[in-house]
Amino acid sequence: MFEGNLIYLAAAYAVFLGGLALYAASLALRRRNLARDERTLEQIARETRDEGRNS
Amino acid sequence: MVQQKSIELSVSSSRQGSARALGVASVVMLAISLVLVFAVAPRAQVEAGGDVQRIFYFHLASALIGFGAWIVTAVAGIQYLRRRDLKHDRLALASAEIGVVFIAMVLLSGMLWARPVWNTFWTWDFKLTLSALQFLMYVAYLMLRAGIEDPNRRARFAAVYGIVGALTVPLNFLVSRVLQSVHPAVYGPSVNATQQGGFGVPTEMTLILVFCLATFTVLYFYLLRARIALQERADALNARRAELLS
Repeated sequence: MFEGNLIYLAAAYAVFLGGLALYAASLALRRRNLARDERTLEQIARETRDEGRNS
Repeated sequence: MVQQKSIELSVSSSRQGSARALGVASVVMLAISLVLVFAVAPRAQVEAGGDVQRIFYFHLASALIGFGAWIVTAVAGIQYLRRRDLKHDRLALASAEIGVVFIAMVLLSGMLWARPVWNTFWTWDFKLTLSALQFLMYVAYLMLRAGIEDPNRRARFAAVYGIVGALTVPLNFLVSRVLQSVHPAVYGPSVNATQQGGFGVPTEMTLILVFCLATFTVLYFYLLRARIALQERADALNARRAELLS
């Protein structure tokens, strides 16, 4: 009755492992975007400081 | 000043070290869990799906961790309302988000288990419907947070929402035990006579389930730390941005 249903077992474990991998990847992606934003903000802060000093 | 800097650096590197240790432990335990589930666990009776029943180990472990994560969100919400410290709000957010991931996996794997056993992916049974509603409720929690700018106002609303939301968690565990439901209650007493796909749980299965639960607990703490660290950085960035604009 269930012999042909191993595809559901494989799909369920693909959901578990894929879900965890996707979430871990989303954390890594958000960390990378945050690092880019931090660099941009520091650059703007530096430029603002330099402009203030020059004027 | 130099001494303070070196203390900060050593705290940061020890934090990174323990996060890495948790990450490695998660991966190793996950690999062992898979071996136990597929190579050691006994085959269940045909009524539970035979080999398909092996979904049970990760399905139940994910459910316990997912619902547990929402309880943590509520406790962190209570702590925030008492102390007004945003670190509790960060914990609440991180735990709610991880809970959403785990319960999404529970719903999807449950559907894949239901198809061969109940002959349908979904049925509007009270327990299944409640689980889907709880999932949507926490997705809405994350959306509500994203829609509020002021951090303190956001934390206050989210704390109340998180506390009210967690009140529905025990209901989910009671439903298949005190009401008639197609979803079986494998552990504990039950008056549910309409359950389908239930199975006896020998000690071997319980031990493997306990190991999978331990694995998912370690994984939860690893993801929680990573998510909190991310939020700390995001909050610091927003504060710096506000400082620059003012």
